[in-house]
Amino acid sequence: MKNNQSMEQNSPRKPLFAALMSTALPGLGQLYNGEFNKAIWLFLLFAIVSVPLVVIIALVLPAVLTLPLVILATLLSIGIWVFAIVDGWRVANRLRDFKISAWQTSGVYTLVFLVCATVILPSTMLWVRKNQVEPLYVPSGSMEPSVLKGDFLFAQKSYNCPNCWGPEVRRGDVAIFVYPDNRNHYYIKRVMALPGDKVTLQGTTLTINGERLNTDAEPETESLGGKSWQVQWSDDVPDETFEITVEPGHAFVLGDNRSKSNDSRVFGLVPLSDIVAKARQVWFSKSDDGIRWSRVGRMLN
Amino acid sequence: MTDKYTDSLDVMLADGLVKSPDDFTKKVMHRISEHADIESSRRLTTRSLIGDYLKNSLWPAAALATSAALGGFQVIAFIFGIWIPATAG
Amino acid sequence: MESKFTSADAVAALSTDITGEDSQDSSAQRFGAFVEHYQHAVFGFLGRMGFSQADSEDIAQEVFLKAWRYRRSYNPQKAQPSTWLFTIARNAAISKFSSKRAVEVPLDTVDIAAETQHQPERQLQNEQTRLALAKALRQLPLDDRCAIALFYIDDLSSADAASILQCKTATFKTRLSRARNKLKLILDDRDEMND
Repeated sequence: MKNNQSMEQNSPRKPLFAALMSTALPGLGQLYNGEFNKAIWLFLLFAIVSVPLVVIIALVLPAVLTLPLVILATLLSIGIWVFAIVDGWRVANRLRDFKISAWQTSGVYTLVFLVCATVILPSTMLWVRKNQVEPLYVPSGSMEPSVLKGDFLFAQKSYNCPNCWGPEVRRGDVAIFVYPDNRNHYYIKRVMALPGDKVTLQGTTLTINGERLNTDAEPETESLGGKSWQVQWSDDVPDETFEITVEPGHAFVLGDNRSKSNDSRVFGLVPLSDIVAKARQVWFSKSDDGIRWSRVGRMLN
Repeated sequence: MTDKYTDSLDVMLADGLVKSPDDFTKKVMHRISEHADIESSRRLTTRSLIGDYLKNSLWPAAALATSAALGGFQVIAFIFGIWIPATAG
Repeated sequence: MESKFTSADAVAALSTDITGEDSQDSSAQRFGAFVEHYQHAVFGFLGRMGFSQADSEDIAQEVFLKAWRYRRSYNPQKAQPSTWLFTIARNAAISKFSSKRAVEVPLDTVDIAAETQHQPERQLQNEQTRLALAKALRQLPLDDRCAIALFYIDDLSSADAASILQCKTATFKTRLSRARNKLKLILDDRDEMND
């Protein structure tokens, strides 16, 4: 004679419950349906593979791919979420005959939800923003014409850090750093000189370690270390000389919009450790006149 | 439906290929009584009534809807968190 | 010995209205009569589905247990008690099929051994016929088997059977006749082989 397995509580699965639970947290509905392994994998895929992993891969690939890959990551995570909801519904629909396991209690669901939705997910996103990629909005025009007021950028955070595999600070990088006079703010400027460099600014001519960055023929084009960029000066630049030698552990930064930039000429050198990110790609741009579609996807460094 | 036993095949099929054992009803009722014991051992108390109310009223649905909304918000914040810009002056 | 068990008795057996003091006992009694009345039909159904004696006993128990457990969900206005019961029976048969696929117990070894130990010659021949029929039934696809199995149940009309199989009445009748023809073909083949 058969043993008494079928005497346990029969608790048919309600599709709406499963769908709502997966809405609250991908994988929770699967937990409700008793699919323990699937629940874990869905959550892992959602929390790690969709955004963090893709972003990390984006940083290894050329900068031009950053925007498409972040879009892909977003779509992927939406897809996983929707799958979790629909799959939760469908599987629950089939499970009219279901033996509930001991661990399937409201307490467990709540605990899992709290830990995953309020701790794991937010900290993962914070980690991604702090260590990998952070989106930025530029409200000032101090870096025009390279970066316009109203640009939205992706900045690479795995930059200038000892143990990560990102690039080091190079002269000419458009970098984001902590503003020395108010550490609650980020600033974006171009790194012009590194420790030991001698900087001389005479009028509109910038010289670093004896090398002139611009030419008389094109005074508003500067180049250094293989890179070049446009700068902007107003018409009335006083013919003054500004000289500084960069002390160890610091960098000298200037905004490309030279006459309208609050930079190292004003607030002094920036400690290298305060340089947190390197601008990578514009993902959106909006001026008072509307959306600047031509700037979407533009690379910066 | 079975008023047309037209041939020997029908007779065979209708006759029953397997038989019910003599003590079948007893076996079934025995299993049912075991099952009923489990169910009726819960006495009707105020706590059990509150428990029943909580379980069978709208509370589970309300709790579920709230957590779906809260959780959904967190999920959306996670999905789109990479797009929410900080400011760099 | 049996008093007439009517459809109303069946509906009463499935109801969960608590009306008396020893309502537990009386509802159990009513259900006992329900089991007594329908077991023959349920076993008939399972046999025609091609199940062995042992499997039929297991499944039949499950069917009545489910009927007891889910009796709250029975709505007399939506279906006859027999239709409801045989929907459960059909579902139980189907889940048994999907769970048993790898472990199909061959009919010969189990049934012949257990049941034909001390039987006279004539009964042995009947057993052989039974076995042949069960084997033939097993060669039919599931839906065809269901159609045949439901046809011979007294309490079920063609319309009831069609609703259990979730198809139109006309479809059921077509399926039934096709299934019976297939069955005849299979049996004739076997007869020829045995000759």
